[in-house]
Amino acid sequence: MRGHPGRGELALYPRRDLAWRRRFALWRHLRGCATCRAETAGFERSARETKDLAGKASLPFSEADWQHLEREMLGNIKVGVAAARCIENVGRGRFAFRTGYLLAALAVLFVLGWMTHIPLATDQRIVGAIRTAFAKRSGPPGPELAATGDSIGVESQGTALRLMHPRAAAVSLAGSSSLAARYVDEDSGQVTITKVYAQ
Amino acid sequence: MRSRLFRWLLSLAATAAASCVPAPAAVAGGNAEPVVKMSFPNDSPVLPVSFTMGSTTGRVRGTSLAMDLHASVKLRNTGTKTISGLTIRVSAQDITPSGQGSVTVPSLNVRPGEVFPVRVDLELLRPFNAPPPKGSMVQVTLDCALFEDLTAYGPDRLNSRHMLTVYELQARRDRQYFAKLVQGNRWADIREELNFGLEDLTPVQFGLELLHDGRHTASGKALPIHAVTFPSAPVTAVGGAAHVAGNEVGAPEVQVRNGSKKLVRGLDMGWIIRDEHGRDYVAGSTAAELQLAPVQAESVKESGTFRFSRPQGQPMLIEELTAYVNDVQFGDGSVWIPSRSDIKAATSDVYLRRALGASPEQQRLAEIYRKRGIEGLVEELKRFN
Repeated sequence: MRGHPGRGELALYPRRDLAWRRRFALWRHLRGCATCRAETAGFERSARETKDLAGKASLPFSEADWQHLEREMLGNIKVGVAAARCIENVGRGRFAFRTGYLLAALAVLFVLGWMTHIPLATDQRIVGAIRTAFAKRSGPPGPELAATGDSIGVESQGTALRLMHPRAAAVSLAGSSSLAARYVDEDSGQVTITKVYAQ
Repeated sequence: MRSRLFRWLLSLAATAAASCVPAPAAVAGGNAEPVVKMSFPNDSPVLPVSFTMGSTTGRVRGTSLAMDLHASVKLRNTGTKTISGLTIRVSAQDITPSGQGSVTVPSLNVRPGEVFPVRVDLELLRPFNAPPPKGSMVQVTLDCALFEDLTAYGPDRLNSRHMLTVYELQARRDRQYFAKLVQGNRWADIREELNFGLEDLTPVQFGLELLHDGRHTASGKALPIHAVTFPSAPVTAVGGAAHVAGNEVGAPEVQVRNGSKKLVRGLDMGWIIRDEHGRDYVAGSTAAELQLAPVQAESVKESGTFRFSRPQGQPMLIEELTAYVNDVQFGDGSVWIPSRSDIKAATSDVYLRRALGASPEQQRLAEIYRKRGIEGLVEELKRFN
């Protein structure tokens, strides 16, 4: 270590507030430097005297003082919480108003767009589908007849019988409880009429 | 967690195994009965000569097994009369008695000893938990055979004798009509009637459901039913109304009046629907049994709900309904059908006129004209004369 350490380091040395490398370097220096050793001893003496004075100057608290202090602390806490509650909803109402306004505007835009772009026929179909879905049955479910692109069939309680036909077949009603499909058989050239019945 | 994974793998393996099962082996009836069984009485005027099952497949559909069955049978006329038409009844054990099917072949003209083919292509849907069938799953029996003299043989459980009679009368009407056109060398009229030999690549199609589950469209609007009248019709449709809600028609009712001097015991009411684009479709016909004395009027009501849709599945909105009397059965057993001049006079709409007059025989003759030309048509007409 060249030269002497600074006064701050010498003051911290007796309190062991230096890094261990620095402390080791100072220890080696103080072994060979009486001046610094004297200054360090002076700092150590001053620290001891200050501690003694602090111990003598401590104020004794009575039970009444602690209660008073407790009430003051609780009062301060309540004031802080009340203040926090006051400012808690500041700006929130404004945000809710803006969100509601935005939703209402979007709803109006949706309705206007629907009315101007969706055909009335589609509205009727949707209403019809909803009505069908919620239509009340006035009796037990019976067999159902249905025609698809390549078959006519009768279905009852999970079982179904379908008679297949070419896509070019003409499907029609064949009674209040039957469907028919008519086509020309490609192989035989005969007109063939398939029917399904629900009873 | 591990047990849940194991159960899932097990169900997946079961589903994969079920989808690979060949249908006849998997679902053969009890006591190794054939899947499709044909039974004709010994005194039947038609008897099977050969019966072959085509490719039969089975596949899983949800919690059910769907089986495609293709049967081809050759029948021989073993009687002494020419057979004009035939209906065979197809019933599946699982769905009987609530549902069954039929295959009708009109305009046959099969002389005694001749053989003709009939195909039956069907799909059966059976839940996995359905009890195993007792005997054959599908039975094919003769329902009615109509002879040239309009007599018939068979139990006629499906009222097929009446329909075969109507088809035969229509066939005779149309053959006479085309024969007259041929005799008069009215080739242009023939070509027009038979669609110029062009295959109809865009047949008029629509989806149709008949519901009898008690649902009703009473909340729909009441739509008046217009009537198309044929000049010589003994019974005329006067008018009526139906409840229409979107694409559903519920409880249509039509008033009819007997303008003849004979008792009417039944009629076929034809239906024409008009969609939201103004296009008309002949939806078919419904039969009504009634006892209509001369000059008497009565209402013909239909139960159930008819639901119409486009081929792709979108609902077809019904804007207008029209009814017409397709045929009339008198008390003495005779039948009336509209003549060609009746159809011409009934409407000026060319498309509707063609739809009203499109009998099975006209369709068959159109196919012959398309494939063999005018010579083939003339040759076919000569067969019946």
